Amino acid sequence: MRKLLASLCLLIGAGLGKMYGQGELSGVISRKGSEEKIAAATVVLKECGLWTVADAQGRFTLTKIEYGTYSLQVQCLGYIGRTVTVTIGPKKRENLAIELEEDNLSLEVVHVVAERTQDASTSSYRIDRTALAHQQTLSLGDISSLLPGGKTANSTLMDDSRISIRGESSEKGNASFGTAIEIDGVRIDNNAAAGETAGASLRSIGMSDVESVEVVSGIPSVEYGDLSNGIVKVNVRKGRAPLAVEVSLNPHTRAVSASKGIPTSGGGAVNVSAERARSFSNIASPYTAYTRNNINIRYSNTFFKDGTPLYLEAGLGGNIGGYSSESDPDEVLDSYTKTRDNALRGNIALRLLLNKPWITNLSLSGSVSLQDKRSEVYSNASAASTQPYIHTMQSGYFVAQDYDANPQANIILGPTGYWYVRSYSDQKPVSVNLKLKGELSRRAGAARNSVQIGAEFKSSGNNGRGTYYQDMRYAPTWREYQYSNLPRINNLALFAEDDLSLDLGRGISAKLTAGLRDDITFISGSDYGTVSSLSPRTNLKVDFGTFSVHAGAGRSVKLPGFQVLYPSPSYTDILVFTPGSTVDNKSYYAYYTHATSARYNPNLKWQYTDQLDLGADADIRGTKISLSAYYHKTRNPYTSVNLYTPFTYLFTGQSAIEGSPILTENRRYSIDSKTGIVTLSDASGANPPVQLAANEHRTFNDSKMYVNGSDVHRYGLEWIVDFARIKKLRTSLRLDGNLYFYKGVDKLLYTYSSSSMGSNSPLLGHYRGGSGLSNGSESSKLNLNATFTTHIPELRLIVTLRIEGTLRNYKRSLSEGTSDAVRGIVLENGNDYFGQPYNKNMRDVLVAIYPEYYSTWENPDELIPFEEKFLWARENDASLYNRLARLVVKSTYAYTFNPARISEYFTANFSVTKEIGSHVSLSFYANNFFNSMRHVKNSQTGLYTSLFGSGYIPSYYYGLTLRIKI
Amino acid sequence: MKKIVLKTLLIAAALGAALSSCTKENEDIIKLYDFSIALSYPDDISPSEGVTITLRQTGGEGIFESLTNASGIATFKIPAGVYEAICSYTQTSGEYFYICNGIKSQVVVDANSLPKAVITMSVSTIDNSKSLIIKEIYNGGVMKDDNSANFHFDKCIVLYNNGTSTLNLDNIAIGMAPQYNAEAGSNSTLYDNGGALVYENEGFIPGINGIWYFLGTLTIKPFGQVVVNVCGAIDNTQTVTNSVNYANPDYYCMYDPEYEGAGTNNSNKYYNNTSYYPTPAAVIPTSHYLKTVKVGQGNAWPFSVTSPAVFIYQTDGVTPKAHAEDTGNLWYAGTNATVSACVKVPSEWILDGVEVWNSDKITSSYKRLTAVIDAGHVNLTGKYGHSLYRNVDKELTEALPENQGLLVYDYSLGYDGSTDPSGINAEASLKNGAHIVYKDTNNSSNDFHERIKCSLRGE
Repeated sequence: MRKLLASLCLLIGAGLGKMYGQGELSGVISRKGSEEKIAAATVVLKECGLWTVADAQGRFTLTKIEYGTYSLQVQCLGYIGRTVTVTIGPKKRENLAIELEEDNLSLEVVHVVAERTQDASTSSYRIDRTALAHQQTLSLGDISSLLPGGKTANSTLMDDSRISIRGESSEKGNASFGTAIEIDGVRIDNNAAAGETAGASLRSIGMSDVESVEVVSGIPSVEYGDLSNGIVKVNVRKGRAPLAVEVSLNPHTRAVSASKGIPTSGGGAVNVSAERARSFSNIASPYTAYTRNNINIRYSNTFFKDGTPLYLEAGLGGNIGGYSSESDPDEVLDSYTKTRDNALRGNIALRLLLNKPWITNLSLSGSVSLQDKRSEVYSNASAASTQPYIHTMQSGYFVAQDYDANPQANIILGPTGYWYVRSYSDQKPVSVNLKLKGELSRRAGAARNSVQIGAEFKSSGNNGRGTYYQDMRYAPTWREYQYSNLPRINNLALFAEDDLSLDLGRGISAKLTAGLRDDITFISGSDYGTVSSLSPRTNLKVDFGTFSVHAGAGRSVKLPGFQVLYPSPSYTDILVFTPGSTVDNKSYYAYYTHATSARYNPNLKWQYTDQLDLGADADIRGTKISLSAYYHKTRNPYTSVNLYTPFTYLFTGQSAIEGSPILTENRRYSIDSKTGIVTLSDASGANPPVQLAANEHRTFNDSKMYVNGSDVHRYGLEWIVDFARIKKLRTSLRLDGNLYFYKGVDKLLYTYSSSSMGSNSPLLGHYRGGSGLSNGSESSKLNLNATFTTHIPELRLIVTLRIEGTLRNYKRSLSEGTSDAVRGIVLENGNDYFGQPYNKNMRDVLVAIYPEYYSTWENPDELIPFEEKFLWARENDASLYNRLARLVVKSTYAYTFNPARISEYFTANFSVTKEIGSHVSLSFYANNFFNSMRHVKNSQTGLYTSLFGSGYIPSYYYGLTLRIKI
Repeated sequence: MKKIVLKTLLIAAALGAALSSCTKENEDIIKLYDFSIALSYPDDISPSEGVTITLRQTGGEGIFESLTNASGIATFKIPAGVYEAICSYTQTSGEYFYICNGIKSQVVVDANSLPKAVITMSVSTIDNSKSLIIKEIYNGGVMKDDNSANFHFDKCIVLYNNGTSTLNLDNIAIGMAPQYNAEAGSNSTLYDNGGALVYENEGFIPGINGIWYFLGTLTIKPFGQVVVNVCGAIDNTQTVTNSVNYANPDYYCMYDPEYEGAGTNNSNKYYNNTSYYPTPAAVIPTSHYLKTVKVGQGNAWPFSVTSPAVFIYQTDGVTPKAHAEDTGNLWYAGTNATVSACVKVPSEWILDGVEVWNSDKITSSYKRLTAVIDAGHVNLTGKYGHSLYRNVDKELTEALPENQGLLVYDYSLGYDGSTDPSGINAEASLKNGAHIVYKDTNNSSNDFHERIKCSLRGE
């Protein structure tokens, strides 16, 4: 790998030897239509990476610029960014006057939908502040609806769903876990969270501070790792800005926020924002609620503007809030649940323009993220009989003891009567990130080359205590597992990327990006040791002026989660002793506990996704068309299988005690932790101890092992067509949509133990793709949205009517075996066990699933072909036939494997934003304002269901936001 | 000694004189008439020989008895007068127990009237072959003492011998029909397009999730009962005052945590949920533990809190265990085969069944038992300790001669208009030593009522 990186550097360096003449550029930035100068505007020469920041008088100077033509990008908070073409030659370019327009609805062109990122060479979309405001986005998760073919969801913080780019959460491959989120360079991940493998929760992140969002759904730069489904990059406000106050209401949410960018004496700015939002699920009883209280402070400044400018940014922010039902009068007695969702995030970024022959920019950034997600449950409890509270963390037989006699017993007896339990589930994920990156931009003949080389270190851990109880007397079956005792996940990534731009003449240009990333992950104590994975990625874009095409291919590696590399122990408890209850309803149960951790799999490969992204953009007489096609193949997705070991345990029932001369109140029990033999003793000493008779039971002990599942395929098409504005109507039309296909079928052999059903001889069934009826699914969707936007600059009014159509919503369960073995059998009726092999062309059939093999308790490793033996047993061995039949899984409904296509459905949403003067604006939206009650047909069952409350479309919903700028 | 002899002679002389004078007067004053009384029976009943018919003189003190001959006729030699003729007896014939009653007033005996009369007998029948019935179901639970929730780990079914013979029954089992709750929408899948239960014409009732069977022979005395605890066979009243105390050596209970049934792991292969199944009170003998065959998934037999359809059956030629463990007797009643697995129980094996509906969900409830088993349903208002109690067959119960003076009336434990129309307080009468015959028309709408408390609470 190291050799590969070195070779790449050499290749890149080869074109950079020649130096060209250097010129200088200076200018002044002012507000359009006035003499007012704009301070602190960022000025970037895009092609060469040179940059500076305007001073208090709006002046800027860039030096040591290689001769040539450049795109000069000027941006400032509160203004529309502008790009001008400048040519640098021997003659100094002075006093370039650049005017920026204020960002408001009086402008002729305003974007209230996601825009294709024009200068990106892969599929990427940008959503700016105006669109977010017009949409009244409450949470970052809401932006999905603004992407091509996106569907509106009614916004509430009670919903903690995660973003999935080009994938759905219900599918194999875990699309949300593979979708990366970055806020101003700070990665928001969920790697250290225990108990779930999903993308990061976003509802604690306030939106009042967000300036724009970029969604890279194509092939991202190698600068970004630990992802498989794209990245969402959030840019927050930086720079001078007036005080802005915002109040939002919808049926389930109240939100208020304030933000201001305060200029500092050195030309920098401190941006402060605060937000409070509260959502509740029950309008009639708004007590159980999720609350978000965000505060963010960010300092940004550029030093040494005239020499070697150094940009410094430091931010500190976070949230205090979470979910609580403590004040809800509808809770049972005094029970409640509170879950903190507190976060503290700090980041610092330095960017130094060195402009040396060997380096142009040097960037260093670091971030720390601390989260507190402790949940507290205070619940009313009661029991008529003592319950066994199993706390043992080792394998063996253990008998319950009274808590007062031995609070540390492996099994304690819970109380009878009424009490309260206060339990905590403490999670405190911590993440530290450091990134160092060097960039070099140089011209090489007609080409301009930019190289970036960097390293990123990331460390994730969890300082939480896990689950614990205030009073151990009331701690039910539970095992202590403190996350804070676990090692951290450390990841070091090295990356290098070359960005080659070629001017091919005749207005044609090409841009080729190629990069390689190596992720090295190490967890101390992991059996897997240090693991490494390579992610090569490349993109090519050819621009013909009004038409461009792009193509990209790459590999994204989603590193194995903590649960795979450092699996937590799991426990199986088998009831083995059931003495009769005493007069005060006590029963001294005994259990056999099997403690195990996931076994090490030396053959485990890292999951990765191979991505292919193709696209084209065109501008035909003012109509802009953007098209993207993609294909994702997720290879080696993580999954787990069970491994079974034959095991015999002893069961002792009350019948073994019955007739004992020992008085019930004097009976004391002990159990041999190894053999399971129970000894009955007499507390009075009147009778000698006696070992009780027991029955022997055969079963299997199981343990988990992580393995790689079968490949998952996704492909699709996304498009945006922005028709030229109809000037007379001041209205524009956008048609956007997506076509999405998914197929995932698991062909791995999974083992499950069957029940002995009185035979005391359980079997193992080995099923292709699991013992469920289906071992995979396929789905497809065709979404088409039409957005009519009427914008009247004179009135500072913008009105949007969006019709969201789902023209195809298809899903089908699949059962696919191998060429050698049948998986599904079509039954004549539900009582049958034999029939014809199932194939996908059949409809309305009852299907039975056969295991491919079975094995016995006596010889679990011998895989016996099932179908052949089952047929034989039917004629020759009734007992075996009966046992084998238990391994057959049947569908009850004939429609189980029918294709489920939902007939077309539509919804209409309406949004309006009106600015009243320069200081006040008002937005209102109504989702599904026709309150559609149409019926749709499901082809799987032939049944019609109403769209009302179906989840296919949002229910009728509305919201209002008032903004005041002072 | 002389005094004694003298006294004896005087007494003998006086007695002899008295007797001789009396005989002489009767012959002169009282004339006796021959009179016969015949018993008239319903068509399908034969007259009984040796049955006592009593003639009681109206307004007088004369009582005369005579036995019927083979033709059902009794003859008397009685003085003239007005009489009331009464006949009441019970009789066993094969599996049937007959209660025969007849009375005829204003029977005139004199020289001018006919020398015979007829008593029309009413005959009530108890079918001893079907006398094992479900007397009471307590499944709805009761509010906990702190009113936090419903406590429902205290369910039971009370079986009763509604006949006059001691029952010695082998292979008795208990099952419940799918779906677990009558109001479950998935019940619609149990019906064919013609609106009939899909298993109705196939001659079986499915027993969902598992069945429970008695070990060995179940013996119940005439008019005796067997309490079968479904869950929580302990003294629940220690924690929930209004619950039931099952710590009783006479009680039976469903408890078999050892049987490994259908399921995917140790959490759902056994009926071993210790909240649902605490180990039974030590006073309950293990011979009273019912055993299970668990064909569905889960850690408890999910006997509905709101609306079970429960039935008792007796297998024929096979044990309940062997029958239920035979894969060929499995049937599925839902989307998930393992969860909805049922045992097919032939309808002719079923001794009794009761369909319970949730009072709050009447309009959305489905019948699960066929009309042959239970043509109706009884409604339950859950959570408040109510039970479903079989009504008393007033006619039969009052007809039992031994019940004279033992029956208690003015029953007042019905709930919200649902009550026992007989007016007999069965439990109070049983305490008095009465024998109660319960109504059994295979229609729980007529046969049951909702009772405000389980009879095991002592009322």
